[in-house]
Amino acid sequence: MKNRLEEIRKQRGIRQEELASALEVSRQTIGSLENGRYNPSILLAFKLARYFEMSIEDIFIYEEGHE
Amino acid sequence: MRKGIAFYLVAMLIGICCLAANFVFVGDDDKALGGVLIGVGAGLIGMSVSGFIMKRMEYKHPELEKQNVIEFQDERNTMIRNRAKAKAGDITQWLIMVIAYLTILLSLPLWVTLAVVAVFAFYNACGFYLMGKYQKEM
Repeated sequence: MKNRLEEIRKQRGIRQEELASALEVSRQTIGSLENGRYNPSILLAFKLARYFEMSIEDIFIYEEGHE
Repeated sequence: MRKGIAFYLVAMLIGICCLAANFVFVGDDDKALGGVLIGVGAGLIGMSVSGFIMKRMEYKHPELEKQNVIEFQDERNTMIRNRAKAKAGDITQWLIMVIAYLTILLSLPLWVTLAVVAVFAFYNACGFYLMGKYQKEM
């Protein structure tokens, strides 16, 4: 699943470490999410959406057949 | 913090007791038991010492303790850990069967082969039981 996490994070001038600390996950998890290597749980997706005050669909792009 | 230290303290005491008990079993017939006691004792003491060092570091640097908790509870790390355990379990399962055939090839006593096969059967029974349990839970 593609996402706009890196783009949104950089737009807001937040470092990976800060985002990881705010969401209580490891920095590696943020890195993996941004690289598209890891798809988050629904809970983490909600946490991210709430942190950025956006909807999940604004951050994660679901395309059928690209899972 | 205190709970963790208490656990390591108890583990260290048991380890010391195991090492001390080893000196009771000095006869030729008790050599194997003495060896087991040394192994268990040394293992427990080693684990306790490393645990104490870790707890001391966490006490001196509270941010390190918080980071360790985050790293441990991190959902990606948890998934990686569980996946690695499952894969290692799968590999071990087949290794157990290889050992079972080796015991036959080496003409070891029947009970050794049966014990190895029982471990294999237990592993699979455990797997099926847990699958059923998780099916109900999820």
